Amino acid sequence: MLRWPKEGRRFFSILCKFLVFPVLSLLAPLAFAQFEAVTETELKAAFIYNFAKFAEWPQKPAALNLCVFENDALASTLEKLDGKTLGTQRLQFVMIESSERIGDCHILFLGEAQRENLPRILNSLRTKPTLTVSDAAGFIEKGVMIEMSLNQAHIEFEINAQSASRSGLEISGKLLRLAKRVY
Amino acid sequence: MSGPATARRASLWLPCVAVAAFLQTAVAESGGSAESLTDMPLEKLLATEVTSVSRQARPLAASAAAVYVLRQEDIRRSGATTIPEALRLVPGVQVARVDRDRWAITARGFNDLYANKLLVMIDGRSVYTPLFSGVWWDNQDTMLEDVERIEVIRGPGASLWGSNAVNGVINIITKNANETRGGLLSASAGNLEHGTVGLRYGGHWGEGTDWRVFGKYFDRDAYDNASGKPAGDDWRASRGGFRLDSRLSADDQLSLSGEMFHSDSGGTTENQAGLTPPYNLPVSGDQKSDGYHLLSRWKHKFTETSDFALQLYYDHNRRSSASLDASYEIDVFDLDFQHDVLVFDHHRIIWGSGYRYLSHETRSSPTFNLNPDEREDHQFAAFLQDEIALIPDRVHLTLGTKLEHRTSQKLQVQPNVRLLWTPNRRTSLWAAISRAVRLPSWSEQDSHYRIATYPPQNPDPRPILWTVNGSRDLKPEELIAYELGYRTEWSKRLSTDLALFYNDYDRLRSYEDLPLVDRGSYFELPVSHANHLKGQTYGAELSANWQAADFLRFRAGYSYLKLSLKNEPGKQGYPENYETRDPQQQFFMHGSLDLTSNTQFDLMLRYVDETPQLGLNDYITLDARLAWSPLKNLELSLTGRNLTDSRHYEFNNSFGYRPTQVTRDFYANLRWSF
Repeated sequence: MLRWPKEGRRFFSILCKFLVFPVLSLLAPLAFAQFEAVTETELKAAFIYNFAKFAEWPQKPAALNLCVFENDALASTLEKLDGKTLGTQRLQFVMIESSERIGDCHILFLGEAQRENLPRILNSLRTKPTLTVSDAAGFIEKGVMIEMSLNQAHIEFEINAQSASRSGLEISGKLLRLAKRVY
Repeated sequence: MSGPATARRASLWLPCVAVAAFLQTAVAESGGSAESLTDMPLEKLLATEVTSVSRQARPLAASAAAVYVLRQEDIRRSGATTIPEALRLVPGVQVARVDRDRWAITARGFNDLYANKLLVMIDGRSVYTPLFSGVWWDNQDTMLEDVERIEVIRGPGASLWGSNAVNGVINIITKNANETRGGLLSASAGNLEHGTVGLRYGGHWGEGTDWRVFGKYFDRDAYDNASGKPAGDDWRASRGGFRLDSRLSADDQLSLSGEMFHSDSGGTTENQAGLTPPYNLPVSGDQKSDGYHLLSRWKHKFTETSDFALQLYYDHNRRSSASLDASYEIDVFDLDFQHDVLVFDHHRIIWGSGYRYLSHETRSSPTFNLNPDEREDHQFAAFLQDEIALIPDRVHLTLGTKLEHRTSQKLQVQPNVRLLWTPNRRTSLWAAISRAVRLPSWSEQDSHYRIATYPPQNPDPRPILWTVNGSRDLKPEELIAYELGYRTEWSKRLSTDLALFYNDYDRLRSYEDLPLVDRGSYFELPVSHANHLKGQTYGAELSANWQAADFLRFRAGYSYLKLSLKNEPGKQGYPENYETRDPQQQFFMHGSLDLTSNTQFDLMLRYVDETPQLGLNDYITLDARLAWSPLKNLELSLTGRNLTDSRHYEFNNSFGYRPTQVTRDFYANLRWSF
């Protein structure tokens, strides 16, 4: 076997010194390429956009109101969906402060922050065709139609088909097929 | 290398980088890839992985190291009843059963009952004992059904994990409590498994908190001795524990777990050396051990690209040995934090720091003593690793180092550099150079152990007592490792993983013969621990995973290992005693066949090469398991182990203990979830 010369050892002391290198590149962002980071919120937003694609509202509105409470973590990311088209329909982002203003929502995102108000919110929407989507654990059992969850770095979703059909929304078979669980 | 000076320089930089990383967290912007995500079809979104900055959640295929993951299903289908048996399914890991409750386990050579070059963790808690830097495998157990996966990294993992991660890191990870709701009963019985019963129950409080508790007990009968009779190494142990996982908020997770155990094993007769006739007394090798630990981990997410973990654990372990007539208690307290952050979108930085307190109290005897018999050590560590995306999803460069200081030891610097090239989604090539050290253990520094007595020879009426002694002059063992790896998916059904390594060791621990000492009524022939060996080991590990059909899967592993050791200049460390102590070749194959939708059949074949230094022949062994699920929540299985011969030795005597023969056995298992 070949023996590593002393330079091999020297290399290590040089390497230690060159820990300086990451520091320098930290302080001066070079023209490096980027990690293509996919954040959890961005992925969830993309899912919500897709859910809208696979749902049908009774009167086929031209603009679909996508509502989010301003204290929800997903609010700023969902705002980027404003104006995106779905076939002939267009998404319109609506930021809401209080649960009095949810009557006109076609899609309503309910995050962890709405846990306390959830029964009241769902009660007022009971017969309205509003697609309710959440990423908070256990909301689906309370009547939210779609619940997303993070499992091993992947997003999964469950569908409460009973709630959806009660409200007059139609959810396509493809979405039901891809769901982890359908109630 | 110029250790202290370099270390000083590196330690100057470490805080700078840490501060910079923190500042960057505040201004780090997430990449604007929302645009492209919405254009993806739903199927593709389901397959998209969320980028995680944390060490635990990286996809392993993208790591520049020889990594293998054993999943719960592999463990269950193999019929393994202990963690060491499960490790037989990992390519490149050497597992030899010494007797009923003792194993010799290593990777890349130097196997022994007291093998000392692996870092073993359970849920992030280090379980190797500071007494000899090895693992008491009889104490490492849990509800095997609740193990999510076992990750094994062959080769040094020192820059991130720290000392003792010289030849490999084994991390046993149990399931989050939200995946173990409800009850599970597992019960086994067989010709050598007198009875194993494990019961777990899990539930939840409110929305965010899940818990589970478990208890298990087993009674295992003895293996055979050389003449084929039961050797007396029967083994009984009980264990109980809990785990609680709570989502304090959307960004905070708290995990608490604890276990306590008691283990009681018979041992084969061992030799007790004395100074009066009959000089060498055969005594029982019974061992009793017990212990408990508590662990808590808090994870906090600052932003999508920055998270923080704080871990704290306390571990207490007690052991007594009848043949040594000695016992000890060891306490370990450990506090670690770690911060993972993505900076400027092209640096993934992990840094952290930790403190560990280690202490022992030993009740010594003439046969075995530690001097001093009470000792406290403190260990401080800091680490920094930067993974740089030179070309996104193509070329990643990782630079990292760990600094570590332990009582009475020099500051240790353990850097590594790794390069990963993924030319396409199915192929990755990696190369790494790393330095790792193994610090001397307490017994290597402080022990005095009587091995045997040579009865008096005429004309001198005095016996000669042969002893092994620790040395405070012992230096850390050092390794520089060069590794190459190639992983590829040939098709959707076939993937292979090849790793090559060349390890260059300095100051390996050896024994040194000291001159005969006249103690008055007897002579002492002392042997001392020393660092008289150096040398290289090299080898290859190849594993393959082949899904031959939807109902048939094969996993196989082959490893080749060669040691070439020599004396440090001017010293004598007997390199030939170590060169052929490890099998040169090993092979295993695990075939899994789904006979029907509710019947499974598994076959595990192992070949282990001869080990001339231990006087062992090569052997082939075969295990098989047949399982049937008449109901969704009920599984009945039958496992047969060591089917090819009625008994064989897997290891041999090296130091004061007598191995037994691994014996053919059969057991039936019932697993019921409710």
